[in-house]
Amino acid sequence: MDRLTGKPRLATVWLGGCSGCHMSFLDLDERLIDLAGRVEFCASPFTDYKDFPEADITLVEGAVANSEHLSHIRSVRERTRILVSFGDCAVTGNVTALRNLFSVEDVLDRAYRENSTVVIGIPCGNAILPQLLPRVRPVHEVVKVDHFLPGCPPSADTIHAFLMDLLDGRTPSTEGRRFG
Amino acid sequence: MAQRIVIHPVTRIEGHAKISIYVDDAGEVSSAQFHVTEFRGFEKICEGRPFHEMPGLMSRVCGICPVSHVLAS
Repeated sequence: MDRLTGKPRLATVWLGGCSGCHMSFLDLDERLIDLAGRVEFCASPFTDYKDFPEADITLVEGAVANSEHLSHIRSVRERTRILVSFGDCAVTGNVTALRNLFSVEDVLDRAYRENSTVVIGIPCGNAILPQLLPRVRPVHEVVKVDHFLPGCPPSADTIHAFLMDLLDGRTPSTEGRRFG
Repeated sequence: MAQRIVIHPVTRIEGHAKISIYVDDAGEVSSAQFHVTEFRGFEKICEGRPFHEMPGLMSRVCGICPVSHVLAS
């Protein structure tokens, strides 16, 4: 609960994914206004935070694909009461995990050596760039997940029904359209 | 003293990124770098897959601008 407003604190997190699930969340349209009355939005990819804030519900979009995703999702888990795998990349790895068929070296080679024409070479970023993990992993392989909200992306109606169930204390329903 | 200022996260973009700003001894900016930290390897993962999967896969390059990727695919 938020100390000032007494409302549940809702956060969204974006790991290795396309942001399509967040776009679908925005497709709640005018229902966002009602939602804003019921929850306190405390973090999103638009929020400039260094440390993830305490949250009651966190929707996590995307798979765990690099070292920064890994440390981020661990701190999110520590500070979240109900963690939700939001969309197929978080739930199964989905498109982000298709690179698991290849080695990290082969995937980087294809993009930065074979396909490059101007600057050829894998960027090193002076150790600032996060390292790709050998395998992309769904969120529940890394931290405990309380609920799964599948879909690529989950439709706005699905997200709305899910959140309303959660806020009203019911077991969330996850019926809806899947990939595509 | 020369130093590096890192802006992370960059929140007003579509995607994940950091910015490094290098400041020299005189307090002037000597260089700056924009680091794109997200990489999924679409260039490789599309190899050998059925062509009819491409519109579905390519639209997942970006959830904000999927239409341009579908058309290009």
